[in-house]
Amino acid sequence: MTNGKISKSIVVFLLILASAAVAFPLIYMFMTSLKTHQNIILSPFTLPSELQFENYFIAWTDTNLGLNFLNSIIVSVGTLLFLIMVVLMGGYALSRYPFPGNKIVFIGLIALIAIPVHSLLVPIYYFMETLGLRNSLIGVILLYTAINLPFSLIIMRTFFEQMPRAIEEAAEIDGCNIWQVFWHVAIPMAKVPIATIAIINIINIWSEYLFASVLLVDSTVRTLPVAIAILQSGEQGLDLGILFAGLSIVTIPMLIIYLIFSKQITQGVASGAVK
Amino acid sequence: MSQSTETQTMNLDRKESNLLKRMKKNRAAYLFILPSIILLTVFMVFPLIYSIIMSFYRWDGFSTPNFLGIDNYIRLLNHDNFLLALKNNAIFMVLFTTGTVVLGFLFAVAISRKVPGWRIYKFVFFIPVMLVTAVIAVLWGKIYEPSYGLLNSFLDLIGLESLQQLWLGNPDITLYSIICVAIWQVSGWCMLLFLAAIEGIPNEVHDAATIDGVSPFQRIILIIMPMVKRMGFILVMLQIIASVKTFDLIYVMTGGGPFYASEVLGTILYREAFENQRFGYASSISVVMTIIIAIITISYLKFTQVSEQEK
Repeated sequence: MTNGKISKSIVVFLLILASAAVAFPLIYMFMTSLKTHQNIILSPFTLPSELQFENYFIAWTDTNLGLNFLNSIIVSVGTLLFLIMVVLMGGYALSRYPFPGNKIVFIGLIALIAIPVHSLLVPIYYFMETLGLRNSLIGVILLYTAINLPFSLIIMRTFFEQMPRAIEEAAEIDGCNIWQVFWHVAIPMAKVPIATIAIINIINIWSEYLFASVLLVDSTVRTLPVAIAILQSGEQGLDLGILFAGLSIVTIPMLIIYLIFSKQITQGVASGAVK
Repeated sequence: MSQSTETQTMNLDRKESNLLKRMKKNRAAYLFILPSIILLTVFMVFPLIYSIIMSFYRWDGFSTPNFLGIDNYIRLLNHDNFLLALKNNAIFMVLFTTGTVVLGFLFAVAISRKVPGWRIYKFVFFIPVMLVTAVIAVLWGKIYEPSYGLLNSFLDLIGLESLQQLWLGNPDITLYSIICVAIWQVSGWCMLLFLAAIEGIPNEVHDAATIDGVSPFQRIILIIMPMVKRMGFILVMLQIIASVKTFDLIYVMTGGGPFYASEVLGTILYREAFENQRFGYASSISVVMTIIIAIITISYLKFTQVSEQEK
């Protein structure tokens, strides 16, 4: 009994240590974002003597992070809405209609999941350039929708496969056409997979750097990950207070989402990855 | 033979009886799947084919491409940085996969025992997964900074100046410093998936074990490990693939340096394409990456099929 208690307290101690190791860099980031540059360099561990909210103000306006923030929101929300619409339609068709070619599409999706997006980078850069979609948020929304499609489609298809058809059939008998069945019966049923798909993808989309760094070059269309990498290497990033305020600005929205939806997020990630 | 043709004609008849309805339904189905097909063709299938074709050409993105045959691939094999990148990817793969899967498993086991405060640990461990990789790269870049960075300052504070390092400046340790950050970022994700698998173990199994009086250690080895084996395999494969693809973290932290010490396939590909304008050569790197990942995926699928047949 005492033995068990000892081992349990060792486990708790190690867990606390590990949590501290995970959380401390973030606490450091927020703490530092409220300090002056000199203060950061001279005493990295002390709490800020005066809260420098000015850092946030400068990062938001002078370094244009405000605009980059807006771009990130447009890209993330736009991609999610578009992705969910396309996935609902595609997943519904794949699971409900054994049309000729259905199997081929499904096998193709599985193959596409395995493809590293890096192999698309050069051609997509070239196509976007040719089509005039470089430095265009719409181009990036279309691209992000496409590269997140295969996995999302498989989740949606699996969901509809497991759903009994009875309600849809009843609606058909009542004289609903296929569009009405889809809009009024299928979509309302699919709230759970929609949430799962939104959760899994929002993390990827908000963080996407590889394509954004070559497609969104113009300072007016940059998204946050690109902007923060540029801020670091630029002149304004030399002021650590401003740089850390910038890092915090990128991080805070995702932390708020995580605080509010942590249960749904952990469940969604777990169920999404298993499939 | 004739029987089967008969049933086929019967089937055809039956099909024909509601052919109109079926056509209508299938037409709708094609309309439903069409947006997906267009997006996937334009942004994935076509670029992939294009990439494979371009890997046989010399091309700077402007002038007419020159056909080279397999020259790009031969040059790759003679390119020191490419071999170095392969080696770095391999080191990254071994350490990152082991680190995240082992830590994730240990965290999950500890948390699944519902020790006091388990909800908080679970919440905290997953936070880095929610962060933007570029932010993590910049933040840790500053933590590793040699003079005012948090790590060296901390070592100074506790009197271990001798352990101070140029974490990202010393070619011998840069890659390992980066791998630590990658493990810091992703372990929580592995924990979450292991935890889901452990929570899927039926309570009866645990109860029976408790009656039999197993020790906590035996419980981990004899009950939890075999029951989460499948999840373990999935995670190992996903982490191996992630290691081949790793890019953002390294590129933003060190750009592949110092002296190419942290170069991986992703960073060479990026530099050859967008700094040196060698689109054909960069494409050949991307083809190599795709082939490596395809081999890993196929062997994994074969392996799981075999192990499932054994059951």
